Amino acid sequence: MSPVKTYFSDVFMGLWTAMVGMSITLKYLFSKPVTEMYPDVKPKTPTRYRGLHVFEEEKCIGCYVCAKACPVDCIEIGVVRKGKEIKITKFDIDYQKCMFCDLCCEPCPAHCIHMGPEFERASFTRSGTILQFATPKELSEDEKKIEKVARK
Amino acid sequence: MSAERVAFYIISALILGGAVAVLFSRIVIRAVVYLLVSLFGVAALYILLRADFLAAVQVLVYIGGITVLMVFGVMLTGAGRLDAPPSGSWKAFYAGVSSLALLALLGIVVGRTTWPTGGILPEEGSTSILGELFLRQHVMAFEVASVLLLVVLVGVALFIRLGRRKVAV
Amino acid sequence: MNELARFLPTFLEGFNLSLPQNLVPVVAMFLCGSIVAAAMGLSAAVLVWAERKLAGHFQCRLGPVYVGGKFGWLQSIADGIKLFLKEDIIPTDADRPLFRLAPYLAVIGVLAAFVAFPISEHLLVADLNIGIFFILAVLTVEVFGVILAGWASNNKWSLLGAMRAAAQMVSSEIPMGLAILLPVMTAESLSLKTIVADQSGGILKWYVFQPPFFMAVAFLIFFVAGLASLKRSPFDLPEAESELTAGFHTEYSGMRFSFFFMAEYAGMLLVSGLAALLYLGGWHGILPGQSGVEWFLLKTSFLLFVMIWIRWTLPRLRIDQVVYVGWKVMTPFALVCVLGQAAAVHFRGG
Repeated sequence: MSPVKTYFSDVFMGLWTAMVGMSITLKYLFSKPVTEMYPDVKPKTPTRYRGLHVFEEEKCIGCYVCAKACPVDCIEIGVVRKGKEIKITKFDIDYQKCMFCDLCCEPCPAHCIHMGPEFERASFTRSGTILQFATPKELSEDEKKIEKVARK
Repeated sequence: MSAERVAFYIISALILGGAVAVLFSRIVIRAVVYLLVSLFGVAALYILLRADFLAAVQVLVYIGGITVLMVFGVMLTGAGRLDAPPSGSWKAFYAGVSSLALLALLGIVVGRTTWPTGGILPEEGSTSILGELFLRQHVMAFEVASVLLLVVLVGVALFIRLGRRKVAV
Repeated sequence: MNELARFLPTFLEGFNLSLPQNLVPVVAMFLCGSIVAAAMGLSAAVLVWAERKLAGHFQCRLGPVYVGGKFGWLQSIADGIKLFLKEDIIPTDADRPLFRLAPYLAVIGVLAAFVAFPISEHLLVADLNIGIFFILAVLTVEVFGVILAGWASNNKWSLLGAMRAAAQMVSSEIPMGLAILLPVMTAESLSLKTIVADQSGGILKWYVFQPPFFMAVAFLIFFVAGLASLKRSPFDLPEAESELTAGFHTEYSGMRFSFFFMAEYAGMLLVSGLAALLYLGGWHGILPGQSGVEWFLLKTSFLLFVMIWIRWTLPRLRIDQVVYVGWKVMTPFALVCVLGQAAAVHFRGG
């Protein structure tokens, strides 16, 4: 192309491409914003979202399978067994360690632990990030003797 | 004293004060700012004389053009402070003589010229008269001046080109 | 009601104030100045809000939403208060007097330009004979303020920003002046009021739509050069955030920074208003006989919208590209337009 032709085509292309770009942004102007008004409006998490665990204490048999499956050892379970009666005294998950991998929920024979939709549990202290899922119970002296607390 | 007279004295003080400050300022960029004050004063004087077009030209050319170029030059050369001139050198002597000569020359010209003092301010709208004068009566001088500027522009561009080519080779 | 500068003195005299006769024009002058300044500040505030809001939506965001109800319409007021309360920092190595002077120069340049800026046939401060030329001249003071700010900050980024501002201004001012020449030639006047009056009588009388369409090209050149002289994207090199932190106003904080900010937004208003006055028929409507402030505001706000639209679309140019566009593209095109329009005016006049 001759220099003159290049010059004019450059000028034309400069204007033309600017207009193409502007037509794209104009489309965006009238499209729906993707902003989520998070603290005001809680986002709806997807059905299989891996948030904070949901623990069903009455189903739990205290078998430690979940704690064993955990790759980062963040689950600590305390159980009192008296014959057929099972008392879950402790079910702590340390969310500083937890990586929400879902590996604890899969092997559970009683289907008592699931990944839930919640995600807001930030805390200013380290102890605040360890969540206690078991309801606190008064234990008698002999129950305390047979309580088994294990991490793995 | 009429308002115009008061304004005239204030403006004149601005012009002269600015000019003197330019001379005594050691920092180049501040000198440019003082020059700006002085040039603004001149523009105000033009407005006082009802030469509004001239005033606008003054602002556009001197403030928008000349002073900006000066600042640009200072920025590129990095001239911050001026050193005190060496005392007792021949340079100072020559400078003194030439400025005194210029003063004398200007004094003679000012003294010899008969200044028209009509006392009547011209009607507003000097722009069209100026245009007529430029493009009819003084068209030759006007065109010569513009051709001269064009020659300067092309010349500078050429010099820069030549210099660059030498460096490249 | 006519020009504010003529109307105010008579208005003040009507009050029977105990003012000396000589002081009335002075008081009126100050009043004019404060009205213009207030209007400028207010419109800048609205513009900042509009810019942020539109910027959000151009990027599929929402923009400000919280301050002042649903649309965040008090956002710029809140920002203004924040800036007002901030500490005013002057760097140790800065050139103190010049550092302080620079923001005022920038604001005064724009403020003075608004004096000759008509909003409608009856709403203007002063109808100067040399209106458009006056605005062009006074606007250069703003650039001087910017350059001074860059120098006085004594900082590499600021200095680089200021040098870019100077180079950019020199290369955009000339095509802008040449583009303005076309309406001036056609209307045979420098007064903005006369130029607009020449475009009365419907959309086809507007200068952009006048054959042989040199004026349309000139409008484009004026608008682009205006963007460049305002330091707005894609010509925002003097304050390029990614390379120069904040360019010429890196060292400024609080009120002084807000002066630069206000000057930029008021300048936007000025350039789009001028484009509307010069090429888009000012306060004349689409159909013949229609005229009023609302038409002028409509056109101006459309051009402002386009400015914001361009800003959130195009990436920043390099300085050599800006200078190339100014000198090698816009100036020759503007010259051709001037020649063509001069011939058209000549042959139209017979």
